[in-house]
Amino acid sequence: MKMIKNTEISVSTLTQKITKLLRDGIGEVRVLGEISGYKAASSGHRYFTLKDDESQIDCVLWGSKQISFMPSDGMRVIITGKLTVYATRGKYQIDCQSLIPAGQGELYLAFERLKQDLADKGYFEQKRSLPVLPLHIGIVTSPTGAAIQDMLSTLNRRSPHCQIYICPASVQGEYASQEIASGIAKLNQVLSEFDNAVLIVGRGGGSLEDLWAFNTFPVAEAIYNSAIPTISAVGHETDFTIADFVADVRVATPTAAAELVTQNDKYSLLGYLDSVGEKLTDSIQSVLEFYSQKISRLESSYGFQKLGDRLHNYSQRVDEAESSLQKLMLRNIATAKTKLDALEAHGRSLHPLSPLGRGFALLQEGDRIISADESLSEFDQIAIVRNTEVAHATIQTVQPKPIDFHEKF
Amino acid sequence: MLRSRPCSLNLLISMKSFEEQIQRLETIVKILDRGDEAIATLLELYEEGMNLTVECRTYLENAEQKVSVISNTSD
Repeated sequence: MKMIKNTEISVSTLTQKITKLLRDGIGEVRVLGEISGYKAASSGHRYFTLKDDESQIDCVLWGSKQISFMPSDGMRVIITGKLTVYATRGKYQIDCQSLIPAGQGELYLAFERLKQDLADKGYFEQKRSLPVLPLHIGIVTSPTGAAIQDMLSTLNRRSPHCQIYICPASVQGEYASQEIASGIAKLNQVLSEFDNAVLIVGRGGGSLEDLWAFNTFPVAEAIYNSAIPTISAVGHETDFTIADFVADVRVATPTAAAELVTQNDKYSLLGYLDSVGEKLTDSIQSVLEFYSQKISRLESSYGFQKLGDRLHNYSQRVDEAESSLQKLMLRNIATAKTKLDALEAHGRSLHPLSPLGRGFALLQEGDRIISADESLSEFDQIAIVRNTEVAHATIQTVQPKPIDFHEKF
Repeated sequence: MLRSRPCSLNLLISMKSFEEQIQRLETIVKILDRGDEAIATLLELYEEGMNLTVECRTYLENAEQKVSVISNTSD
């Protein structure tokens, strides 16, 4: 043989030759076997051994590769990949492209394992109630299936006032689980500002394999982490998916989910508005009635009546006062009049000319009245003023008046 | 296929105000039910409440389904 010559080669060169030999000679493989020593490293890469009764081979599944279930030891799987050499350790291994369960039995096994795992983590205990009046409805489902059309028509018929947000995702196949999970996260971002939001995650019915995305960890985790209450609506009759267990509410069909979120539909809301209007009117009427009764009660109350009596009393007293005032005034006026008459008569009697009326006379010299103290002299020119006439005289003689005459007067 | 209509800001605002109006209505019903505010306040609230029922009713009766499609891009 050519190779066994005297010229030696390095380990690396040899390994390169082996690598090339394996890659070119075998290349792509599809292998059935049982998983053993499964280990998910923190880097996301997964390492395990695939074995049957007589042989085993190391396998690696890089973190970037998605799988739709949780592998575990003892599970029979079919892997596809290519044969490579791990030069550092001089080992050959399969670089896996895909990893699928070998049959339905294996799927159930995976399902049970994930279910147990999530139950242990408390993923099934988050059961929030849906908003009473959901107005923002996020939907993660296939944009092309019958499910979305059924949901939209139900929502439109019952609650056209709701705003619908659809985040399209494939619901089966290799990328379904990741797309559903990212759709849930995306709608959480979009709807975070609303209180009355709800999410529906689902698809129409299908085989166990078709529904498998809803049995995967990424979907379970996205539902668990959703801040918005989430309804799982995977079309199936009897079985539950992992998504059903994790979701806040589970319904059997997408249409049922649409019906659930529109329990308070347009017509019940209109009825509610009617009843609110009636309630408001009743309330305001009872308030008005209350005040009206209060007023009546006050009107007929003792205090109010007493006040009335007192007012009557006062008014009577005022009347009385008025009439006695009148009487007093009249009396006073009469008294004053009498007084005035007397004063007037007296005053009149005191008038210097009043004695003239009784026959007395007044003596004047020029314009001056001759007072009682003055003495007259002979030949004085005087005027004798009487009641109706004036006489001019010259004094002939003057004699003192005898005293007894004065006294007699 | 999906009927996709862009979601205008106006529609969102009217949605928001519908929610707020319903909430406001509930508040008003409670206050009126208690009836311990000044009567002038109660009468004002009554009027506001009745107007709100009309507005909400109008909104519901004229509402048309609004669908937004959110692109599913994994970051």
